[in-house]
Amino acid sequence: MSDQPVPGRRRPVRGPAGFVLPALVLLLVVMMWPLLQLLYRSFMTPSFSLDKYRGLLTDGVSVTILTRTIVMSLIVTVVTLLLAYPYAYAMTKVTPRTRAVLMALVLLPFWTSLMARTFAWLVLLQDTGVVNSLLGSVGVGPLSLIRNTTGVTIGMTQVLLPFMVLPLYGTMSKIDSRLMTAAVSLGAPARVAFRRVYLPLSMPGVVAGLTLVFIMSLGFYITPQILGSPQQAMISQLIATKIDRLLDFGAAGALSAVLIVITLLLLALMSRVVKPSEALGAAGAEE
Amino acid sequence: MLSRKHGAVGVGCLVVLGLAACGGTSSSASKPASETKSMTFVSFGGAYQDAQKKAMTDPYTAATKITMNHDGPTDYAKIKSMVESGNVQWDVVDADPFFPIGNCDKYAEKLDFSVIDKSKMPKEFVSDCSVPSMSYAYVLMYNKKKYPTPPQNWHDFFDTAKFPGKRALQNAAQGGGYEAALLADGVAKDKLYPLDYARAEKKLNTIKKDLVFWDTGAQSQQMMEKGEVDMLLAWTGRGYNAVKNGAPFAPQWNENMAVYDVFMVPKGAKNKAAAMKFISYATGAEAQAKLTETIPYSPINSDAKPKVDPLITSFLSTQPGVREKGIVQDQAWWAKNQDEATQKWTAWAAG
Repeated sequence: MSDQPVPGRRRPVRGPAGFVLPALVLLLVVMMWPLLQLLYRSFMTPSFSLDKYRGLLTDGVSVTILTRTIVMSLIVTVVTLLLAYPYAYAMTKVTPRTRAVLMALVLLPFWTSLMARTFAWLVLLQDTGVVNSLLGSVGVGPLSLIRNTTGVTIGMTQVLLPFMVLPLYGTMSKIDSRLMTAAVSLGAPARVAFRRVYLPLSMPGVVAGLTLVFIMSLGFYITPQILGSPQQAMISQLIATKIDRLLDFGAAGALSAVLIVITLLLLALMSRVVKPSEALGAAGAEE
Repeated sequence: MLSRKHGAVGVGCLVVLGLAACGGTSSSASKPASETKSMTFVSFGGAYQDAQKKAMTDPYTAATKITMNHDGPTDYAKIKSMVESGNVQWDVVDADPFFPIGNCDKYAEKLDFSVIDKSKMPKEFVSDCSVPSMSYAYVLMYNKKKYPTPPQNWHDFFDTAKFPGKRALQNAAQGGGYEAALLADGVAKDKLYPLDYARAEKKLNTIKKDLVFWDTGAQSQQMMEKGEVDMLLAWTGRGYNAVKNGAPFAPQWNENMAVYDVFMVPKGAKNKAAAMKFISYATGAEAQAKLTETIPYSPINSDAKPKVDPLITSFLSTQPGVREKGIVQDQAWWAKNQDEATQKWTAWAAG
């Protein structure tokens, strides 16, 4: 995503554009090429037809799982936002040293392998696991925390939290705190000042975080596979079944196409509210 | 693994052909067995492939000086892609029977039975494009502490009043769930096929709230060892591992389902002739006995006499009496109906 030249600003130098070429070629060859082949296969079965797409409507499972994937992603996105908003807010209000600790707490798991973290959750959450032992010692449970929606939500939320916290923090750290003081001094109760001044100013971060987390949720595979049951299966798992077991590359391509279209629509929607470069750039916020 | 040469071919056709599939550009004729210096053996990985290395490929290399490269895990989508692109990297593959039976002469080579001796193998395990590589069974494993009176069959597995508790099935159409449900519902052993999906699913729904699923053998073993379920359909090999590690479980052999892996040769394999010779060796009495001594799967060669301890013996599907108590999955039916059954099962399990 390149910055558009802004009139009145200094024109960007042309030379460095060439520096993106190696990465671009790599992306074209190892990502776009197989992707295009997959899409091609979804239409050519073996001659042009929409059968694979029609098949998704009638195979008795694709629609269910697609709907579930969207619902599951919405749940995870909302839970992530509820956790991340106060967290990011706190990060703007503490001393630089505490902020560094809070940032590390978000990033540390981010640097650990997804597989390792998911298995760690499995160990923690299983019926005889650490969490249930603790609950048991105070006379609660055991609760069913894996092989259901709860397990998948916990696992996915933890993985995706940084993608909500970072854009939120990036936006919030740029909000001038004197605006709140001004609002209060002009007679607004704290709650009203938050709702009418702070919240609107933090919206670009919220929109960026929501979009990022939602889009990434759509593609989750390992977490629902390990912490869920078939009743929590998401679209990536269905694509894997279509390829591995059914050898139906066309149907897998059609499902992938649906996923890509949803993602692109969401990105387009987001870009109307906040510039993509800003949304993604916010993640690398000033520290 | 792409060799350098094939990598170059791939990129070349990418540049030239635009969107059209890259087919047939590098297919090379199969060479005579005497010219083969190395070939690639593919299996499902883990303890099983390690055992195959020890019992089959290492001794074979020692005897013939042919290097056996290991790759894996077995992946039917990959075989399909290899055959369609005319660039087959694998020579011998350990697979589920449905794949070579259902794709005989399409994705699997016909086997050369003048090289491979099938006379010592169970007849119903052999097809034109596959021979068994070992056998085992799906059994009902139950917690001995929880059920002092053991469940006797799949009917008891579905009886949550008499046997309360969580149970588990394998999340796969051919994982035995359909057959178990139909047997529990009173279908006779010899009347199971063609499977009545609707009837099976209706029966499965009666225990759905007490049911969890496992995807990998390791998961099923963990369920037994952590006491996460009280009974489950499990592979005998995993049942043995769990019991050896102290899980208070025992197998119920009534209505066990005999299953087996097969050796196949992908269509267009570069070392087809040498592959036949290797399969002949790997299905021989010596290799089969050694395999069972390394991992608790049953030999498929009637001359194989593995020396194993009583616990292993108690999990072998070749013990006297076991075959008579069980059924054999109809692999010919499964080969024909794998896709439909997988669609049905996926829809049922996900619903």
